[in-house]
Amino acid sequence: MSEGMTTPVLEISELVKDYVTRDAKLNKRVSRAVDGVSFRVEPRQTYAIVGESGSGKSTVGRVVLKLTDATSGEVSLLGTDVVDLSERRFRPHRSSIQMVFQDPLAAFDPRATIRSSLREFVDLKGDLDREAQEAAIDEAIRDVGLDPGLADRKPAEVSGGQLQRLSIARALLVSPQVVFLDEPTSSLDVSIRGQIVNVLLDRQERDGFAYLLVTHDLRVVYAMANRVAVMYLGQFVEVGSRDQVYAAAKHPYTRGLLDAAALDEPALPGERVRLRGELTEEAALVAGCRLTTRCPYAEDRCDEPQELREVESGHFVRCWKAVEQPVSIGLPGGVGDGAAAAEE
Amino acid sequence: MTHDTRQPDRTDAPPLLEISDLTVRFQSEERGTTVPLQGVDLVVPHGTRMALVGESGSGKSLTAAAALGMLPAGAEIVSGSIKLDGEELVGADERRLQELRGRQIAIMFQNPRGSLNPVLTVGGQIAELIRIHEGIGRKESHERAIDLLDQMGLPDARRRAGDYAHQYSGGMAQRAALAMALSCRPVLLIADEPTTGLDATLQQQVLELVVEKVTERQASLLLITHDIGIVDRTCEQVAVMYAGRVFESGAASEVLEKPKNPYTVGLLRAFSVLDQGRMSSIPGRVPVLDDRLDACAFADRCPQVGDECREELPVLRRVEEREVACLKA
Repeated sequence: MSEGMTTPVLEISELVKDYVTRDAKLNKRVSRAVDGVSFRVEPRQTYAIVGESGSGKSTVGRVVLKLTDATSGEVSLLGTDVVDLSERRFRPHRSSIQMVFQDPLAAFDPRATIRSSLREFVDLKGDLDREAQEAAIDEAIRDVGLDPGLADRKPAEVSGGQLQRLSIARALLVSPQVVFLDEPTSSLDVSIRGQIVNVLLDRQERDGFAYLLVTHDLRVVYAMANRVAVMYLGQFVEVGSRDQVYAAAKHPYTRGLLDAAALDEPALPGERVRLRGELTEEAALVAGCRLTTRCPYAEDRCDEPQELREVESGHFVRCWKAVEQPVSIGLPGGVGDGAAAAEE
Repeated sequence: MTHDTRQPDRTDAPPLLEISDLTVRFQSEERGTTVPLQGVDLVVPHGTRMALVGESGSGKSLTAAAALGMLPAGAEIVSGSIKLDGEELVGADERRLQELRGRQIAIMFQNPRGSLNPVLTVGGQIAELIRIHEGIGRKESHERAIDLLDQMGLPDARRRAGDYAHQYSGGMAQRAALAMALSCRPVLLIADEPTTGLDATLQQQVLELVVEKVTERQASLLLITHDIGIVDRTCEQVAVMYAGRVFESGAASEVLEKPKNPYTVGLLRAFSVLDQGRMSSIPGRVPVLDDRLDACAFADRCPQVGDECREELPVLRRVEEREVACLKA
């Protein structure tokens, strides 16, 4: 899936993450939250992973940040493979990758002032005297459109939207190359969701870092992402540019998500897809397509393992029907539609 | 999704729910005295699906709680009236309210497991409700419960009726909560953020189910949501609330297509996706009010604010097929 000549800030290949749990009888059960995921995040770009809860999308981010260990696969951060690095040896790389969490209230020490939480991050920048530290904090807060005076309050004393902006300010204090955004707007009212998105976009435009965005909010993804991966039960089922995924969605899962989100634009090609039922972990145990119990187009051949195949340049789909028989799943047909697919 | 099967209101009959000038005061240790409801006016006609939309802090859930006679501790009705089918509920005794809650009004919450008893089987608790309300036998009520769960699209209802709430997935639990809410044949279902926190595909399924079942029963729906984006798929009417007052109400098609209140305009814009990447939002936040305001509560956030907005309280008035509380509209 690589393209272009630039060095990616982040390159993930064949990432696998298993969680081992035990049932009531202490029998070991392995669930594969991430099952062979590969992608690269280019400088100044936003790479978004969308999917329902349970898709494994947040786990990808957590592994990349080394908040949890990978089972196998590679994670290259600015050219350094970090999967096998010890915590101590990873530490110098920590400032190049930062994170913004869904719930800003949980991301701050409730008893400390916001300023003192931010100060811990300035310390990572190296030797600054107290005055320079405070100036750096004030500037970071102004850069997210807030009054530095807010920092002298405790987290519970500012609004949710303000606190999320302050957590963005904190993440950006150490000048990271890539920021992992884990549902950055999901705990906020819709009326202020745009404020957060715009601050993120403004700062990216100015400072040129990359985002790895994980969310179920398709409006936020549309506003922010350059490339989009749609994830279902540990696997990417469709990957492409934002417009490929939104305006030319092929996989029934992507189309079901877009239909349910009822976006005003862009209009979807082909039939509307209604997904039945809900995501269950058991469906990840099958060898073939994991969506068969919910997909209106499922048939016998879908029980065979499905590859991620390229349907047009940079647009990949894990559904044999979307590639070979688009008309049969309600997609607009056309000469050569699908013929170019099998290559690559 | 707009099947219009409702019966026309008999013009002389009172509406199903009529809230007028409802003002609620709230005492709490952290915030002292606040006045979260500042004179709410809301009418839900018979057989109508209405959405009550607003940000957190707008007072939409509190309005519903008042209609159910279930205000939280510390809250009291200062003035106003709540009439169900013409019957005044403000000041009614608790026994009467309880009776109405069972038979006339039912509620569905955001967290379905919160309305299901964790130590009783799902089928068992629905059957018990039916038994109490209809005075029928154990066996018959159990069959009715299974039938109801089946109607709500619960797969394998007979077997799953014997399970406990924690054994249900989020979607199944919300179906069970709907079965429970509808078990006593209410004329008004209040659904308070029933799909918030659910994934979009599941949200779509649950909303469609709620609309279908309410319409089938010719009941009314009061859908409380912060998500103005789901209104056109679910409701015929909409009321937009802000800072404890209704700012705009009318037919969903009118209000969503041609909003007149700048707040409604802002909320709708916050949902639209802009090409250049930047998203629209409303600056500032919902105010916390410690007294009844005599000006527009949105003035500080409003792009169209004028001097008069800070001097006069806008009341709901008829403007082009809907009611608007805005001096500029």
